Amino acid sequence: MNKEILSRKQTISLIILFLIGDVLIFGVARAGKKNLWLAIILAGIITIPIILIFTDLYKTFPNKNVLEINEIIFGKYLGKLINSLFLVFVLYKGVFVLRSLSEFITTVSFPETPTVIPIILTIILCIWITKEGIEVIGRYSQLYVFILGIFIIISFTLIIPNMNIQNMSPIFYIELNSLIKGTVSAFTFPFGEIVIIFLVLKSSNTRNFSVSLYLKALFLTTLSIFFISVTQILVLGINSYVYNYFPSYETLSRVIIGEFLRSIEIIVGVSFISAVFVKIAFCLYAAAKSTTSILGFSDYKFVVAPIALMMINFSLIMYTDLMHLFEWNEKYWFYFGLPFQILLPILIFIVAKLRSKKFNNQLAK
Amino acid sequence: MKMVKFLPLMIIFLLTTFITSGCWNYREINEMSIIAGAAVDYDIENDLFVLTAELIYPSASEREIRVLSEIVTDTGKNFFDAVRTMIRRSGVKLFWGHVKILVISENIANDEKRLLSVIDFLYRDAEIRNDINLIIAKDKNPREILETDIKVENITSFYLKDAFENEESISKYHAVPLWKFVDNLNSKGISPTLPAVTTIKQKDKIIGQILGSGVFKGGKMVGYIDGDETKSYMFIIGELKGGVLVVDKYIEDDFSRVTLEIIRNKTNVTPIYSDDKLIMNIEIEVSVIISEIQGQTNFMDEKYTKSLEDKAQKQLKNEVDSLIKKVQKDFQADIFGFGAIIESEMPNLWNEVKYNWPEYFKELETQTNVIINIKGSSLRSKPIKVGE
Repeated sequence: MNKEILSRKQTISLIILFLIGDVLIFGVARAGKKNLWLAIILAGIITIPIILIFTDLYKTFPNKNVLEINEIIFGKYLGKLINSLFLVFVLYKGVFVLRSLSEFITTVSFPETPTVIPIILTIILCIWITKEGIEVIGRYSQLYVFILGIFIIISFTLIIPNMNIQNMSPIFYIELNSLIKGTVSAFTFPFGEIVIIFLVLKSSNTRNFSVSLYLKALFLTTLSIFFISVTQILVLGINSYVYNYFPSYETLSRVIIGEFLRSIEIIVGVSFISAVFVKIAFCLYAAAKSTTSILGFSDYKFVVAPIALMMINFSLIMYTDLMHLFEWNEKYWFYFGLPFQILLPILIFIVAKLRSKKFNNQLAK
Repeated sequence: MKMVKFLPLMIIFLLTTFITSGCWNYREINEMSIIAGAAVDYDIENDLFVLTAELIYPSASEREIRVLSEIVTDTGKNFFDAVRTMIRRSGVKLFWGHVKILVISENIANDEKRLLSVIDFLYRDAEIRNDINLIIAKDKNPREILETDIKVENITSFYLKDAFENEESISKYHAVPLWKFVDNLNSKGISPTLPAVTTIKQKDKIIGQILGSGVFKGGKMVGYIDGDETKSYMFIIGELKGGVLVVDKYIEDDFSRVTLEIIRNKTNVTPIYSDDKLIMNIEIEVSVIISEIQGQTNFMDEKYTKSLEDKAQKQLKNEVDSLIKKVQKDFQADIFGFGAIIESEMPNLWNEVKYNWPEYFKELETQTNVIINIKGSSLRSKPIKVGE
C-alpha cells in the first residue's frame, strides 16, 4: 500500500505543474525586459547541471532522497541542520504560493472576501491529497497537465489577433545587464524550485527512473513557460507586462472574437488554481517528509495536518498584502532562493564526491 | 453498518453545499445600477471632480421592454471619491463593469495630475474593463455630451460606442481603448491621441459630433487635429481601414470632384540612416475604387485613370506631409510612433536619441511615398452622360 510509486508520465506531469504553478499568474523574468525570451531559455539551460548533480547523487546513493543523502554525507547532526534549512525553504515556498492563490482570487474577483477563506478551502484539499500519498498527487498531475495544455493552446489561438510583433522587436538586441538579471530571476523563480522535487522523491519513487526523464520534464516546462511569456509580451508590450501584477489575466481579458466571445480571463483563474494546487500539495508533502526525517519518525502522515495548519497561519502573518507579496517575490526571493537552489546542491555534490569512497566501502561491507 | 457510513457522508455533502456554494460577495441585479458611460469634469473654483454618469434601466410597458437612461451628477475630491459619492444620488451601488465610454473634459486633459488621477483609477480597478473608450469633450462641458437630444439609440454612451466601432467607414476619428492609451502614455517613443467629441446646435436640438483627435504630449493634451488630419494620421500609423478620399481634379479647365472609396491600405514606415542623417521613409499603398464622379469626364479611360491616380497621390502626400509638419511644429509630440519604430529597427541609434527625443522629433525629416491603385469603379463603367 505504501509503495509510493509514480509512473514516468506522472513524474513528468508533476514536475511541469510544480514548476509552472505560480508562473501562470505572476509571469517570469520581469527584470529581463525585452530579452526575457532569451532569459527563460538560458535559465532552463542553467537548470540542466542542477538536474545532473541530483541524478548523479541518485546513482551514487540508490533508493535515497536528498534528505537521507544529507544525513549520510554530513553526519547526523550537520545533516539534520541542513535538512531543517531545506524545510524552511520548502515551507516558505508553500506559504508564498498559498497566499498568492488567495490574493489572486480576492483581487480579481472577490474583493470583499477575507483572505483566509480561499486558503482554508485549498489547504483542506491539500491535506487530503497529501495524506493519500504521492501516487494520488501524481495521478492528479497526469490528468491535469492535459487540461492545462488544452487551455494554453485554446487561449493562445484566441489571442493571436491581439498580438503585435513590434512589442518584441528588436528581438536580437541584447542588453547584457537586463539579460543577466532576467536569467537569474527566471532561474530562481521558478526553475530552481526543482530542488524541492529531488529533496523528497527517491529514484525508486519513479518506475524506470532515468536522467532523460527529468531533462524531458525540464524541456517541456521551459517550452511552456517560454510560450506563455512570449504570448503575454506580444499582446501586452513590455511595459504592461512589468507593471501588472497578473499579466496573464490582463492578456486574456483583451480577447475579443466578434460580439460573442470576449474576456476569457477566467481560463487563467481555473488553470492557475488547479496547477497551483499541485504545488501547494507537493510543498506540504515535502515539508512533512522533511519534518519526519529530521525528527526521526517513520510515517509522515500524522504531521501533515499540523504543518498545514501552521502554513495557514504563516501565510497570513508572513505577508501584509499583495503589494508586499509581489515586492518580496520580485526583489528578495532571489537572495533567499539562490543558496538553496545553487550553493547547497553544489556543496552536497562536492562533499558526496569527496567522501564517496568511504561510503562505497561501507556499502560494500 | 451501511447506514453508519452513509450518514457521515451525507452530513459532509450537506455541509459542503452550504459552506462552499455561492459567491461570498454576490450582488443582485436589482440592487445595483448599471452605468453605460460617464463623463468627468473638473471644477477649478472648488477644486472638485464633477462626475456625470449615464445609468441605464429597463422599463417595461405592456407591449415592449425598453432600456432607458438617466443622467446623474455628483462631485468628489478625487475621481474615485466622486464615484462613491454618487451613490447618494442613485441610491444603490453603481456597477462599472459595463461602462463603454468615458468623456473627459479639456481642463482634466490639460493637466497631468488630474488626467492621471482618472486614468490610474480606471486602469487599476478590477471592475472596469480596460477596453473602454476615452473621449475628449472639445470646447464643451462633458455633461452636455451625454445630454444630447438626438441619438439613434436611447442611450448616448451606446451610440458613441457604436460610432467608434464603425470608424473604419469614415476614418475621421480614431478610437483608442484605455489599455492602448496607457501603453502609449508609458512608452517613450510614441505619444497617445484621443478622439474628440463636441456638440453642435441644429435648429433647437443639440446633437453630438465626433470629429478629430486630441494630441497628447507627456501627460497632458497639447492641441487638436481635425477630422481630415486624423485621416492622414491614421494613414501614417497604418490603422486606416476604409473611408473615402475626395480628389479635386481639373481636366482641361473642367473642374470635377471624384470620390474614391478606400478598400485597403498598407503603410510601411522605415527609418533610413545615411550620412549621419535620419530620414523616416513612409510608404503608403492604398487600393481604392471610384465610387462617385462629379461631371462627365470618363475617368475609366486609361489616360484619365493615370492622371487621377497621380493627382490623388499628390494630394494625399501633401496632406500627410502637412500633418507631419504641423505636429512637429505645433506639438512636438510623436503621435506617429516614429520613436518606437526607430527603437525596434535601430536600437543603438535609439539609445542615443531617446533622452531628447521630442527635440529630435521636431527636426526629423520624413519622406512620403504614396501609391494609389484604382481597382475598379463599382457597377458602372462610364459616368452618366447628360443628353442635351
